[in-house]
Amino acid sequence: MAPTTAVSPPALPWLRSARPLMMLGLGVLVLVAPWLGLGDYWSRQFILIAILALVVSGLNISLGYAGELALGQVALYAVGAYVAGYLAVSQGVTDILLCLLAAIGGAIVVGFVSGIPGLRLGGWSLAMVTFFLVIIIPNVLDLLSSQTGGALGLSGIPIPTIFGAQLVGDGFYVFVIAVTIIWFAIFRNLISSSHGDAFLVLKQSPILAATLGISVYRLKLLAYVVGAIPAGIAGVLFAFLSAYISPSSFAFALAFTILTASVVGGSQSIYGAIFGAAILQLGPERIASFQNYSLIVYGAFLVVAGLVFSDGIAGLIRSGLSQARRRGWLSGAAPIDTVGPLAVADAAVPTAVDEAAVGPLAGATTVSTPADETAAVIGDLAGEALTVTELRKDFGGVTAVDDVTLEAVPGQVTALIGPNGSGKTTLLNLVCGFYKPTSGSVRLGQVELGGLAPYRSARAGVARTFQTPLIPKGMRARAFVATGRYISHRVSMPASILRLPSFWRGSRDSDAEALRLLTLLGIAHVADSEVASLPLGTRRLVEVARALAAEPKVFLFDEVGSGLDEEDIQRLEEAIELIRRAGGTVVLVEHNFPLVLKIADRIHVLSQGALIASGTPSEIQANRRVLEEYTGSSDTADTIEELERADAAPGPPPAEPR
Amino acid sequence: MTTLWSGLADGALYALVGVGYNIVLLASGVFNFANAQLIMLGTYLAYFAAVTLKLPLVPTVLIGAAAVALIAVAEERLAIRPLMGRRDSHATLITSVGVAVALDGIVLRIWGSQPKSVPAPLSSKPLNLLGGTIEPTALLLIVLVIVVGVGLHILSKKTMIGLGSLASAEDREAAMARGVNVRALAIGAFALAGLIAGAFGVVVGSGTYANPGLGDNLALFGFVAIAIGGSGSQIGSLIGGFATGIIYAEVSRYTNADWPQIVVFALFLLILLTRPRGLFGGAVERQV
Amino acid sequence: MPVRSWVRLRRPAVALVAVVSLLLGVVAVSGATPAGAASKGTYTFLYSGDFTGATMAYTQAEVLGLKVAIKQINAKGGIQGRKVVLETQNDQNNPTTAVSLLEQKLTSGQKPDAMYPGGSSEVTQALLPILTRNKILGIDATSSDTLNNPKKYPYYFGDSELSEQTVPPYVVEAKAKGYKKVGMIYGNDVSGQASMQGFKTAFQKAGITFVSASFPDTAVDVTPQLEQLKAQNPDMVIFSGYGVPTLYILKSRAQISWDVPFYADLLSGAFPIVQNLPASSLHNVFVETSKPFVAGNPAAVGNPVLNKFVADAKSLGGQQVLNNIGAGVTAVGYNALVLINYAANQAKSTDGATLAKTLESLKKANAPVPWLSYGTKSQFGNFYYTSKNHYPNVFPSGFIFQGPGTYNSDGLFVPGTGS
Repeated sequence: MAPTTAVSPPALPWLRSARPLMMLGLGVLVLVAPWLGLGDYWSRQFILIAILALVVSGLNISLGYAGELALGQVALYAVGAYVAGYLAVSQGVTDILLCLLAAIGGAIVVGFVSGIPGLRLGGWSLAMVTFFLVIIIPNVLDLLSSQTGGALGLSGIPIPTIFGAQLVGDGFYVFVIAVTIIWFAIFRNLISSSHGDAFLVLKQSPILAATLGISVYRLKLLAYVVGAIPAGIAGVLFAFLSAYISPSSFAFALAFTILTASVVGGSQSIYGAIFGAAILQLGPERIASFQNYSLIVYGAFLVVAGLVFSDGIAGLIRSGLSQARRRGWLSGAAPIDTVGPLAVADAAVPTAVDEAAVGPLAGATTVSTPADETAAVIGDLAGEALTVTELRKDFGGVTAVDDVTLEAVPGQVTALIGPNGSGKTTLLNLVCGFYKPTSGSVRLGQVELGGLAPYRSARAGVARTFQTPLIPKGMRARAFVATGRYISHRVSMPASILRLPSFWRGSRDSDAEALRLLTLLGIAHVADSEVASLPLGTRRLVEVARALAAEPKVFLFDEVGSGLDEEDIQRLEEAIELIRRAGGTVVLVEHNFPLVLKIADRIHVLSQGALIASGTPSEIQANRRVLEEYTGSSDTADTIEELERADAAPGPPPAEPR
Repeated sequence: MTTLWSGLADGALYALVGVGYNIVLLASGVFNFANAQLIMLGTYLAYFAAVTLKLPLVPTVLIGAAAVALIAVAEERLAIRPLMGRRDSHATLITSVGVAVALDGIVLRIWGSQPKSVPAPLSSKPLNLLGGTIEPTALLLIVLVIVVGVGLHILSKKTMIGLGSLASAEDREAAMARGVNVRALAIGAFALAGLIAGAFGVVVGSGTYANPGLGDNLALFGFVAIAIGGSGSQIGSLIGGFATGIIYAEVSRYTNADWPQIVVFALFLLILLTRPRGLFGGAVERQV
Repeated sequence: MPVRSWVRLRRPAVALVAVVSLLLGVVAVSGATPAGAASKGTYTFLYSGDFTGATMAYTQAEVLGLKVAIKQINAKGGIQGRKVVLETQNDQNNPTTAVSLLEQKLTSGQKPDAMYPGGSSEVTQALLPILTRNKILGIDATSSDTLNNPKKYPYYFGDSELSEQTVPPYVVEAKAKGYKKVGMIYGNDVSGQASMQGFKTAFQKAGITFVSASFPDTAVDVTPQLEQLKAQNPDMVIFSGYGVPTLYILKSRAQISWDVPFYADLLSGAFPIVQNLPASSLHNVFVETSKPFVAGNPAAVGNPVLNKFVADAKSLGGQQVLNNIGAGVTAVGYNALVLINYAANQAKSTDGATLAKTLESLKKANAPVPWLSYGTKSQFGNFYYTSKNHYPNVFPSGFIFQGPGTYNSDGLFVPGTGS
């Protein structure tokens, strides 16, 4: 078994950093291909692949990154094509840049109009709305037949111009490829920024996103609308390429071609869109040569593609690389996920070897600091008092929280204990905004939280961790911790795309801060590991770091100690102690009675939704009623079961809303 | 009234497709796009048994049901099961569309592009009913679809199999952990959907003819039925299907071919904004 | 544990192999196309059409017609000594696919000498610019007014009548019967809309009221649309739809017991209605047929060109096509090559541009004319194109209205032979 102290370096660092350059080089090669002997046929194929790749990349943003199945790319593509067609044929506007601008505008408008009803409700509703959007294309075109030519289509689209010069042959080819390269650069910059991480959080867990202060609805809408842009661009390019557009070019079957290309290339990838598009452009054309059998062969092609590439080509390459690395074919240590989650006990405390290994990676600034000195490092936390007054929550006839009044003040650890089903987590959910109170109030400082949407509570200064840590797959610890700062230290999307100084500053600061917090918690060695594959205890600590990164006014820790061993718990204690000393407000929901007694300043005991006792640890310990109601230390069997569940299904908890 | 009858008859078709989607969706959380093609296959098998083999009605229905069920199970085994338990379920959309396309191709290959008449099980003389006319077989179709839809609704809500399948669709891992035989449920659901699609071959085909475009058209409308009725509810797909059929018919009665689709879309948006979970989904409060 | 991890490791490995082989496969297939297959010796005719979709049956008929023509022409030494070779491409009626397939052929040095550019007007529309650019002669049967543009498409000719040319007989019929109001039900697609426009213009010009209702091509029932028409009380109804919709129209008509005369347009009329409907549903239903392809019609009886055509079609395994689709559609393919051969003989050349010029000034052929369709003495029409008109000239006298029927073993129309 690999030593668990091994540090997992970034997957092939040279490859990671070189990839954008490699892709750019490849792009330039494709750009000049006509002068390297690319014939008419292949230049047309390349253009068609580029067009499909643009449309697919839009779907990748909403499906692969924001986790929303949208079938409407075809409609947005049609909008782009018809805007260009109408401008060129009826208005005599052949300037392709002007057409692109207009088409992007049109696609954005249609994206908003379809995205607002489709995303307001989540679940399948976007898929449904966009499905309708596609099937009414011919009807809408028909009703607008004086502009669109109806079923007969729009023919005689003139040759496009750019700055007055005609764009034909190789010129048009170069233009299409250049536009595609530019879009993919934008796409790449967007994804490899804090926004891309926010999309991933959104996809894995809307709950986590809301906890980070992200408005799930707005970010999804943004992703979907951003995805509309390349579809609109592609439509313009297609209209000028074919010089003739008709509803049959935008049939429902195309929606599936796009979805298939996205999945086959890997929805959650940037360049996968290009590979998926190439396969879906070239494959079926080859298949057409099977004449009478082509439908059967195409069907089989789809089935095989779906089976083999269910994770996408990008996913295959990723797993292929990690496999090769594991076998020692490539340099780089084995990633930590080969380690069984239960075998980590002895690895919790960093050793000298660790720090040596961390050094070069993390930079000279990161040296593990003893906890005592870090009080200053963590800085003053502007904690605010959390005041819960006569808070009540009824579910149907059941009262889950029964007129509870309590206060948590800055610089103190306030613990909330009680048996299973006593309403602790419900209380937390009321504070976070996942439930609306039936009556009563929740205040943070002077701000009323009761009834606020979860993301608004978070923005008001509430940070929380979860019973089962919510961690997006495929995200490294430093990036994950930095998501805590997504809202508080926001870098605008345009700045991220254009890589403006504010982006570099923001990402440098976030990175440094994330590393500092991880170091503070003694887990700097996992900074570049994939969080989801870390052992439970480490994941909890990473979550704590993520909560710290948001610089909240109150920390809510939900069962933070359950399933942890002694070492991890000790580490956690230190972390909580740090927060308390820095003046943070800490609310601890906990099963582990000894832990609570040890670190809490004040304890509130809940039973069947009602508060039955409050006091200092020693008062609670002496309270007979508490002892009767609540036996104290956490049930071992319960803990193990929880641990197993967490391991069996890492990521979103079972109760995720759909 | 005749328009209403024809809307109900079309609606029965859409509801039938929606019911088939829901059987599989409820049991394994997979959207089986090939379901409409299974119904199309049912109509061709009805033609094959009744016209080519000259078999009487009962064996025709039995052959259709058995053969389509078998094909549906083969689909599950080859195109769906290998993907179960993977983290993204979108690949099953692609493979099930692949199966649909392949079935289209196979049907074209065997029977060609010309439609085939499936003999009606009842007289083709139109009935005068409540001031409108309707073919007896269309009436039978409406009744049978309602019976099947309501029956399945009861099955899914009241029996252990139904509850187990609900659990399995909701959370496969958890259901497995609780001893639900997830695999058997998925196979059972595909077999049942195939069985129904095949058995309806005669009743459907006598109205629509066995034709290679049938699958695609029905798939589209079945999806509309589910969108209106709310996925995951058999009663919902019945109501969604019939509502779609009636709206299409009534709007077609008074306007040209472009409006029915747009009116249904508008209705869908209205439902979405007022009843977020479809007509028949219960509201669920968020929880962590 | 070792076994499990082996399994875990294998899956991506297998998948990687699959990716590589798939990519290689794509490259290999594309590299495998033989370059320069079209040698000077042969005359390549390329057929672009839908081999797998709804119009597959028409494709089969047109290809059969081409094969018959090739057999006859090659038996006499080919076109100007060049043996004719048929190539096909399955464009699935998708314009983008059709263009890609043709571009691929052109790039790999397989430029056809002439082609049949598509089974739908959308495909033809998309292909014509390429034909013009490469000076490839094109002849097909897609009848759309916008394509008849010799200035823009000098190398393209239609060998089937424009839809509006089939309309006058209906007007003649309506006037003869004294009808004041005509209704039309049509499928809301390209051909349906084009057909409707043609009828509307013609009837309105003749002072007859015209009303219409349309159904989407996804419909499984058209009762509401027929009810809509019925409420407007037309004296006769024209119906248009390809394939199943034709059946739905007549089925719904029976269901609502509407017995005004129903006339099929050319599209619906080409469909074997009687095989699929009981005779009771066909009362007062008429189809427009072309006299030279009606069994027993003087225009068809004893036509040596037709007889030889039918015999050759059968010898090429076309019996089923003749039975199902008839000789009329099959003749469209046949005529295309016969016309090219006729022009080549006149010009003593096979050059595309030369042939296009020649086709605009064909010498009158002696009876019996070498092509099918408009009578042995060209009494119902002709293919004498001009520099202004690249479509055939058609006379209303060539059409008659009859009850729906079937095709006999020669592919000739036999009215009223329903089940």
